[in-house]
Amino acid sequence: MLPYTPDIYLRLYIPYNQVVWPLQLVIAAGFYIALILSIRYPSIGGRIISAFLAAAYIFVGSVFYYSFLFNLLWLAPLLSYLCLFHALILIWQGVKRNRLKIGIHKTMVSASGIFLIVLATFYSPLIVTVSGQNPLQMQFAGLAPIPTFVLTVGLYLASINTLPTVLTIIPIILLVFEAWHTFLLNDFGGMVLVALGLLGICLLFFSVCFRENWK
Amino acid sequence: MASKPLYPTRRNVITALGVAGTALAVSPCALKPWPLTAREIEILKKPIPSTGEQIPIVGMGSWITFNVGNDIEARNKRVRILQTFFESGGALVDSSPMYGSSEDVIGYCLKRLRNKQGLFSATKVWTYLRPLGIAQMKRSERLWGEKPFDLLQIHNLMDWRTHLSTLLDWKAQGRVRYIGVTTSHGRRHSLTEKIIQTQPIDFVQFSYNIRDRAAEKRLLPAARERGLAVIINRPFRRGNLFGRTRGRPLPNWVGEFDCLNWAQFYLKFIVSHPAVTCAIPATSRVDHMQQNIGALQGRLPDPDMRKHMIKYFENI
Repeated sequence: MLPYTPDIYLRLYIPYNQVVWPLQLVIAAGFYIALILSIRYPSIGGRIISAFLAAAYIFVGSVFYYSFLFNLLWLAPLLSYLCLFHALILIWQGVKRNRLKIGIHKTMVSASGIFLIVLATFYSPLIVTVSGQNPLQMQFAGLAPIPTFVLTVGLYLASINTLPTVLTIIPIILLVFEAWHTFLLNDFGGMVLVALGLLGICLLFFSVCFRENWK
Repeated sequence: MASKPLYPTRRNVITALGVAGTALAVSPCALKPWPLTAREIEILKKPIPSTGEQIPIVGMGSWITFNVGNDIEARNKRVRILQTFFESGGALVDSSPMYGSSEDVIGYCLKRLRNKQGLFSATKVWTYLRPLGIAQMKRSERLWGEKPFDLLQIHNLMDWRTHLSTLLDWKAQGRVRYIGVTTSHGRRHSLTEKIIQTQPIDFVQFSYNIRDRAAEKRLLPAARERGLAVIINRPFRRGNLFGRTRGRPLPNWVGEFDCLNWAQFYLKFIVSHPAVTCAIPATSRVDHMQQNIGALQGRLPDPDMRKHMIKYFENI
């Protein structure tokens, strides 16, 4: 059904990681610094994290989807536009209106958020290392689609305010697409991460609907 | 009266050998096995406009079909496919670093083939930035075991300005014979046309087949006007065209251009376009390779016949 094999798709990350190097380190370090800042200084932290996420969506959309995946998949420009549109929403809702405030609470939802954040940043490097694949095939949060979308869900779960629904629509669409994509590619590792991201979305909606019961 | 001996004398044998030797010298094909090999059959070729060098009008692509990783059985099957290709007169083999393990597998096959003199090696550069492009092209040379490549192309126009500068340097140094750009699936025609019109390249590669004929409007005329060789990818629309004619017999009139099967119908339609130099179908089956490469022989459809083919295809 897909016009390429799993092997060809996963090898796509080799030139991609070569081209963006050493952005992987900069983004990982930048993200955790931004996360710590946002927890220590909640008044501006949400804006910093939103700006970081918006930049990640712009990068995934314009570089990964549009410049790399477009070579393999005709659908890639559409995904690219979705990412760019979500970046605009993040700038509007997160940076301008400060509607994404991050904090740590002793709740199941918040803990799930932290778990997804950690998972999104370390999952692929761990899987690639353990399975002995080419290290250049690692998928980094902020640069590769699935970890970025899961990271987004993790940050939403760690949010201390009620999120505007508009912030969740595109990540859901993108995660559903990636669920379908990883299923067709028979990429078990990717499927697990996407499934956890989708479970996180479900948890997010439950937490909104039954906030008092969950906390 | 003395009777003639029943066995040949030494004189008879020497005379007979002399006559036979003379006959063989005069007619080198006299003892060749049947069917004749590609070298004896007239292979259809077209010139590369920039040099006049002739190449066979059907080549071989490797997208998906040669991405078989380390599976030895599958690799050896590809050796047989390439052997069939070369024995039948094929020359141009096209690949890309984007095609997974294809380049590695082609290198494996080429090492095991005795008869590959006709090889016209073509691959691509597919990344961003000059140093990464150079590293990738060197890796392709290593994987293929071919140096220099006959043709290096910029895959899907990726970072084309950067790589074109490298390729021009390489061509000037004799590290590659021809250079070009590629696109596929009918994308980026405007940019491809602009490059055709303005850049000093030898080849251009894009998609064209009896169903997707958008290239007829601008790309094919532009390439012809600028004197570029044209390679056509996706000649069967990734096998989709066969779905349309499955179970349907060939019409009688295809004999007018020596067509024996649907693969040759589609290929001869493409290569009969005056601007097209070569089509590169990909296959993972020896019998399909035999069908494809058969399009290297016989007549090609004329312009009226091409119109008739389109009309017939559209009414299926």
